Order: sequence, then C-alpha cells, then structure tokens
Amino acid sequence: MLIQFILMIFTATLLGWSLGYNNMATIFGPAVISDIVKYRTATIIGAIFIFAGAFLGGSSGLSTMSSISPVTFDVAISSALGTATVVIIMTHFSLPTSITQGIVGALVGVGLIEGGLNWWIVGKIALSWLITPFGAIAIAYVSHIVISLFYNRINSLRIRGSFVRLMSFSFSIYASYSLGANNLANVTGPFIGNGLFGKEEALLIGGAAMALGFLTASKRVIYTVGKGITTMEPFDSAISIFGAGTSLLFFSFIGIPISSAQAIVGSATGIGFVKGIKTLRLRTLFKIVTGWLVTPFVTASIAVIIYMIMKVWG
Amino acid sequence: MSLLFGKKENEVIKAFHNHLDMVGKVIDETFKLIKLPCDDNCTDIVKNVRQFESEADSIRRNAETMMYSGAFLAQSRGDMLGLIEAVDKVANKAETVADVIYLQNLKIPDSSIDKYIKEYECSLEAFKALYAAIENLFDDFEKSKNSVLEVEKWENTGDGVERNLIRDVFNMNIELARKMQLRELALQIGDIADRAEDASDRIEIVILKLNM
Repeated sequence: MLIQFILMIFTATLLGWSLGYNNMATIFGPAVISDIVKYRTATIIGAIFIFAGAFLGGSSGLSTMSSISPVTFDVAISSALGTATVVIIMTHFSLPTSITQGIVGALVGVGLIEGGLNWWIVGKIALSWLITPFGAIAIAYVSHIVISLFYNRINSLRIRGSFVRLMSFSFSIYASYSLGANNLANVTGPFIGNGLFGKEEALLIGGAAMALGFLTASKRVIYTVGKGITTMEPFDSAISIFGAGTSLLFFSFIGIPISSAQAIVGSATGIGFVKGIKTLRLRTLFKIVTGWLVTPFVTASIAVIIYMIMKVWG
Repeated sequence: MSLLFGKKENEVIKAFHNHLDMVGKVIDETFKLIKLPCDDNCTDIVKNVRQFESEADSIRRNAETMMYSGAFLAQSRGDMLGLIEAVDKVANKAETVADVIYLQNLKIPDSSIDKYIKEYECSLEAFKALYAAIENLFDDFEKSKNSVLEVEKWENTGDGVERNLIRDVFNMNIELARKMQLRELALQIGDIADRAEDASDRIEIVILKLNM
C-alpha cells in the first residue's frame, strides 16, 4: 500500500513538475526577457500563483478527468506514467507535446481495454480541444482591440513603459493562476476516487508539483522558449498571454482541462490577425494537429503497454 | 517592484536631460570662438569645450550603464542607446569646430563673419529643436513630431547658408589654403545640424514604432 502511494505521488509529481517546467517559459518568458521582472522573482511569484490556482480553482476539472474511465490503481498509474514517459521523450527531442492531450489519450486508451469508457465526457473534452485555439484567437483579437483603444491614447513614453510592464507582469500572474486551475486535473485527476487520492490531497500534491516545475525552470529554457514569443512587441506578447490565461480560466470554470500550448498558439495567432501578419504557418498547424492526434495516440499506446505489463505481473 | 514603476527610467530620463544640457554647453562655448576674434581667451574657451564634451561623454556612459541594468523594456533599449549616442555626436562635432578654429589658428574674414554666425545659429536652432523633441519624447511624443520637423527645417536653412558661404569664400581674393580652411569650417558647422538631424531621425523611428 505504501509502495502504491509512493508510486502515485512520484508519477503525479513527475507530471506536475514537467507541466510547470514546460509552461513557465511560455508564461513568464516575455516578461523576463524584457527585463520587466527578474528570472528568480518570476519563478517564485509564478510558483505561488500556479499553486494558488491549483488549490483554489482546480477542483472542478478533477471530476472530469476521473470520470473518463473507472479509476483503479492500474489505470491511474499506467495513464500517468505513460503520459510522463511520452512528455519527457518528446521534450527531449524538442517535439511539440501537450500533457493535457497526453493524459486524456492515455486514459481513453486504457479505458478501451478496461471497459466502461465515458464517451460523453470524452466527446466533451474533444470538442473543447477543437474550440480552444479558435476561442483563444477570438479572446486575443478582441482584447487587443479593446486594450489598444486605451493604450494608443497614452502619449507619454514613460507612462507607456510602466503600463506595458504592469500589464505583462499581471497577465503572467493571471495566466499562472489559470494554468494551475485548469491543468491540475491532468496531474492528479486520474488518481481521484476509489481509495486513491482524496480531493484535498490531489489539490495539494498537484499544485505543489506544478509550483516545483516553475521554481526549477532554468534561465536558459526561459530565454530559449521565450525568444520564440518575444518576436512580438511586449504589448502584444502580454495580450497573447492574457488571451491564453482567459481561455484556460474559462475552461477551468466548466471543468475541462485544455492544452496551454494550444491556448498560447491560438492567442498569438489572434494578435497576428490584428496586426495583419501571417502568423498561422505550417509549423503552427503542425503543432496543433500533433497535439490533437499524435500525442493522445502515442500516450494511449504506451499507457496500454504499461497497463498490460502491470496486469501480467499482477 | 521599482522595475515595474519605472524608477530606473526616471533616472535615465534625468541623465538624458543632463546630457542634453552639457551638449548645449559645448555648442554655446564653441559659438564664442566664432563670434569673437581668437586671442588669449581662446585657450580657455577651448579648454571649456573639451571639458564639457568630456562631461557629456561621462553622462552618456552612465546613462548607458543604467539602461543595461534594466531601464526601459529590453526591446526599446537599443533605440534609446542609439539616441543618446547620436546626441553625443552633436557635441563631438561642435568640439571639432572648436579644434578647426583653434588648432589651425583660423581667422574668419570680417566680410564673412556674419554668415558664419548665421550658419552656426541655424545649427544651434536645430539643436534646440532636437532638445525639445527629446524632452517631449518621454512625456508627450505627439509634440515631439513638430520638433523633429523643426530640426529638419533648420538643417535645410543651414545648408543654404553653407552653400552661399562656400561660394563667397571661393570668390574671395585670398590664398587657396585659407579658402580650404574656411570651407572646412563652413562644412563642420553645417555638420552640427546634420548630426542633430540624424538624432531626430532616430526619434522619428521611435515614434513610428510607438504608433504601430
């Protein structure tokens, strides 16, 4: 029983850590690169808010994730471990991946073998994935137009600087909170119920693991990943983060975990539409389609293999 | 938190003002060499020009260090660094004018002194407009646009004066070597306004970026 508990904590921590580690650069990269906030301050503040988001707003997604298929120790561990393996391999080879889509794919894969798959929930999640990029495009597009109305009236370089700084910093905090609230379900959702994690344990462990990911995100990763986003002006990148944060928060209210990467890609595309720049490139489409199709399929396959091994070994 | 509310920016903006004041002093001091016949006072004036120019350099370096330590968004820092360096080149050019007069012991003929003064005044006005453009850039960049146009206007006026002056110099009955010296002086004075215009071009780019 103790080994089972340790294994659950280890797997959830691994997933939460990689989720925080991979998203820290996306959320705080522009602010750190623009020298709006120092790297260490960003990791600490981000960690506090991702934890707060997970703990205060993460509970609604937990039930969705644990309702995909009947929760057992084998299902939870094989899904979480399968996803963690794929995420680590794909991150190592710099391939686009999404933990959200990975974990759902894994649960569906194992659920198909185990039986009792809740197709209604699966359908709802799949639909939300389709909506995410377009929703983020719309939010970023409208936000940019609205905020620009105010911003363009500021004729002082000094005030504009402070405005962009505050905007970038507060939107990064907001997105950290939203990420915690939305993605907690990916980390500990599969372990909820059936004598595994309790709700409070799930919130604490998941939130702490994601915060750890934020805290350990290296400066190098922030600069490498962040540079891809900061080809935009700081004002635009701040709104892009706001768009992604709002998408994440919206879906966390209705209890559906979505991919933060796709929310960011969609949001950046929305900014591109306002600016009249062709940002929707083949690479971007490839990222989205990989998230939709390849990641769930690969994690499902690996999770099923792990599940079969666990069954054979009893 | 000071990063968020622009404490460092205020320090850099103050340094920009101090730098502009010092560059203004270099230009004013050099003007004395044109207006007055070069006698014993010359050495003191040139000494002042060098000292003010060197102080302007040190203010610029301090401002650059402050910028690298986090003032302004990283993306706009390059523009600000380029701007202060461009302003510094105005002071360098004024110092060159002082050197041309002092080191070559150049005597401006009485018949053309007024035209040299007029040309220098055009460069001085171009600098004053540049000063206003930079001052407004931080607080109301829409006003800066007018000052940028003003710099251009004075640079063009100065160009016209410079051309007439050079024509007059070559019509004078003096040695060719002296003509060449006087021509160089006219060109160097014109360059002060040119450099002011280069700096104002940078302001124009900053404003264009802000309006994008």
